[in-house]
Amino acid sequence: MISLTDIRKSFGAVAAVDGVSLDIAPNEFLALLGASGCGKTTLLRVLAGFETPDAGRVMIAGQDVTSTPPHKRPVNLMFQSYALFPHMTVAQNVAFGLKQDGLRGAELTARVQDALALVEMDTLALRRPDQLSGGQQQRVALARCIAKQPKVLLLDEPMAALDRALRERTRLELMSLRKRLGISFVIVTHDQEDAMTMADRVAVMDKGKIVQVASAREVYERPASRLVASFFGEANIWDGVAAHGRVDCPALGAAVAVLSGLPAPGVSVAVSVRPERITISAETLSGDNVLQDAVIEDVVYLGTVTTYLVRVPGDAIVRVTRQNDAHQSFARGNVVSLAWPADAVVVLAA
Amino acid sequence: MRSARTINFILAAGLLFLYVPTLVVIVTSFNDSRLAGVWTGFSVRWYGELMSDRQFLGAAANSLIIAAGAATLATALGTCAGLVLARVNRFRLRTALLGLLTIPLVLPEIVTGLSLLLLFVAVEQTFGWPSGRGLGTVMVAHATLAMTYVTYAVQARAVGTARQYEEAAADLGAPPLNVLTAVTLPMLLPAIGAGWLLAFVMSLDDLVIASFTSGPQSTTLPMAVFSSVRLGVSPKVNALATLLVVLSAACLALAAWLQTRRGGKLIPT
Repeated sequence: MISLTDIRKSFGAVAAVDGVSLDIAPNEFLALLGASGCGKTTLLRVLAGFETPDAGRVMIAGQDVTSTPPHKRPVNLMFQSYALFPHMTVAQNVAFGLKQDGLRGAELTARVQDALALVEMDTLALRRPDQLSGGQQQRVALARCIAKQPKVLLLDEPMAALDRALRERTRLELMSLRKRLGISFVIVTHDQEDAMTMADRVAVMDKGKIVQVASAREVYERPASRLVASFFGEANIWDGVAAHGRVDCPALGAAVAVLSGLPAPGVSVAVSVRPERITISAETLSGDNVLQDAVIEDVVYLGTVTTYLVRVPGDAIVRVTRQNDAHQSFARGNVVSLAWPADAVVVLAA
Repeated sequence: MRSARTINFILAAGLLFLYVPTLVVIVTSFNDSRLAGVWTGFSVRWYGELMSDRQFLGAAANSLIIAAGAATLATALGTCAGLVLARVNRFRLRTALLGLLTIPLVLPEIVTGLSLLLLFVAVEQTFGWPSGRGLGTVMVAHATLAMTYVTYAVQARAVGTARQYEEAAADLGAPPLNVLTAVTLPMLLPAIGAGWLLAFVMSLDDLVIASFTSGPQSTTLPMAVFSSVRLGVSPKVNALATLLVVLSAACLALAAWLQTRRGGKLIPT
């Protein structure tokens, strides 16, 4: 549906997008994820047509739209600030885009009605945007975009202005919308939960480049780089030196057994282990990787899980999360053992 | 405490200094006596006499026609200039345009008036138009000066209005002209209206430029007042001044209200 080839865009000396190639399938939900300033919004604006790339090609639905102005592209962008026209009612906002297509009369009314009904805003059609709550404004902005029946819907940080409960509800609604509409979604977000719950694929961006494109599960379990590992979820990352079947980590005071991905012995690498893959116990554990005589430094209770910050003999702090149950919990100062399987370890470039 | 009182005192003194003369005119306009210093009773007779003075009424009509025309012309030009300055960050002669817009504000009116007179005469000799000076020449002269006010009002509002609305309109399929007429201009309407009112008041109050650029049939109200005062102040003039103060104040208050409504800024930033 969308094909980006080697897109580059600089603002002055800063390369906001630095050679991005990406294909988005019809009916795919893609999340562009990254810290602020990584170029994800610029890439979205290139797709919408607000920025002309310095180099590269943008294809949408088989047509080269690299230099096509925004009003002639079959995509619609929902702005982070929603950008609802303040001098128009909800219905007029939704009708605006349809009128540009020459729709009038009963057909126009019906399409506006349908779009508003889809986001359950049909009862507030005559309000002005400043009489709506943030969540309602977002629904109107969404209705305004989907009324145009675009081939691709672009969403710029759609959850940024919503509270937690509303976010979860909106995520579910976006997913059901996508099922019903059968169009591609590209969402820009810095929130990994957005990406995990909604996206078929996640493209992680850093410094204008895409560093990994894969399913959320793959990105989480097999991060391609140190940055991806630390940005997408929590991770314990330790520097070390590769050896045969293991990585020697001075900070842990131990070697970490590894199944795959090792470079030649002697090469500096880093290893990453997700906190929930580490077992914590008062008894002596056995397994691929075991650290004895660790001391709990801090306990963070988070409802469903508890995070323990544990100091190990090599003086590193290891982050461990454990599902809360009625049986056992640990307190600050407890001496514990930690263990994790070799398949939980991901080897990263140093 | 003490400094607050001092400051309030200075403020009160300053306001008195500025507005007592105007208050005196307003009060005197309701004085029955012909002599300004002697209060013989409340009366509106001078307003009545004013209304039957053909010379003043004719001048007032001229002034209103000129002010409306000049304000409209200035608003059309100033809106264009303000939009360009707010939306196009880099173009050749941007600095020159900014400077040229500011010059009328700092140039002595007598110089502006004289130069416009010379221009009109030169243009008439070259092209045969305008034949003599009249309402049209004063209108153009006032519009050149008043355009600056409109430009600044529109520019300030346009800079403060997020560009995202225009981008959203384009994204929804609106070609540039539709974006301008359906989104940009409606959102700038308060500033455009305020600019028109400022231009209207400016034109209504001007004496110097009008004196240079008007002809025998286009005497404006300030010119009529000024020439009548030289033959001695008639209390009619006080009544007229009071009406002008009320009209100007109403225009300015409306302009301020338009500009501050919905997050607008009164002062350009």
